[in-house]
Amino acid sequence: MKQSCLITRNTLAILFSFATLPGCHRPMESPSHEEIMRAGLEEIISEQGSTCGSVLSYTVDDRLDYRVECESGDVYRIHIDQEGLVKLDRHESGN
Amino acid sequence: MVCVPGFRFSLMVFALLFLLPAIAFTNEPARSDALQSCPAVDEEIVDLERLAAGLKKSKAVGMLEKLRLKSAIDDLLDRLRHYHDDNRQHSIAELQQQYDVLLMRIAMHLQHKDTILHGQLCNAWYMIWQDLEDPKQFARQFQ
Repeated sequence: MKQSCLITRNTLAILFSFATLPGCHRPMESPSHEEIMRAGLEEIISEQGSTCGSVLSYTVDDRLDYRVECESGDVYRIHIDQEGLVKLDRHESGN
Repeated sequence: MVCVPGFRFSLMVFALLFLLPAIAFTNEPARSDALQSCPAVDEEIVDLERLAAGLKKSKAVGMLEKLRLKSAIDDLLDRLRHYHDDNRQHSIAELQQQYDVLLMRIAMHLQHKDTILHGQLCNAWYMIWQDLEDPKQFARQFQ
């Protein structure tokens, strides 16, 4: 009898903690356009095996043509050619 | 200055022939010189869901990257949903850039490993965006 009371108390505690968790949850702020773009361009550069670190800034030269400045000091041109191939050209390095 | 009726008529004809097509042309979606000669494909992809389905089946992309790309596609669709629901956090020009970078990420994974899906992506690039930015087409496909 005593054991079953303990189980009930523990069960209630678990249920209470689950019930109060959503109240503690703060909705995440949605990322800005800059953050989304920098993250996407960073993915492209790192996937090609090139050094970058984080993307410091980027400019849009044309649709599907970006100039990206990296934390590493490297500057890349990321663009799409006529056949839809992604090209990554290293422009210069600040190092 | 003498302005005879015939001269005015000529001016109007000139305007109709040369200026109106130029104005109409500016309403075309922004296109770059890229993607002008995508490889020919037997079966075209017509929407983002078919692209996601093709990506899911493709052996060119690892499981972890598939999950990350799927998550990125879902995030973009959420942002577009907000845009079309008049709860706008991004402009349509910004969303187009986000779409382009996402498709560049996908194209990069496919371009040397799954040339068929890559060709389909290349051909559908502008068409998929036109459907995403159009509120009616978007609602028909995703809401």
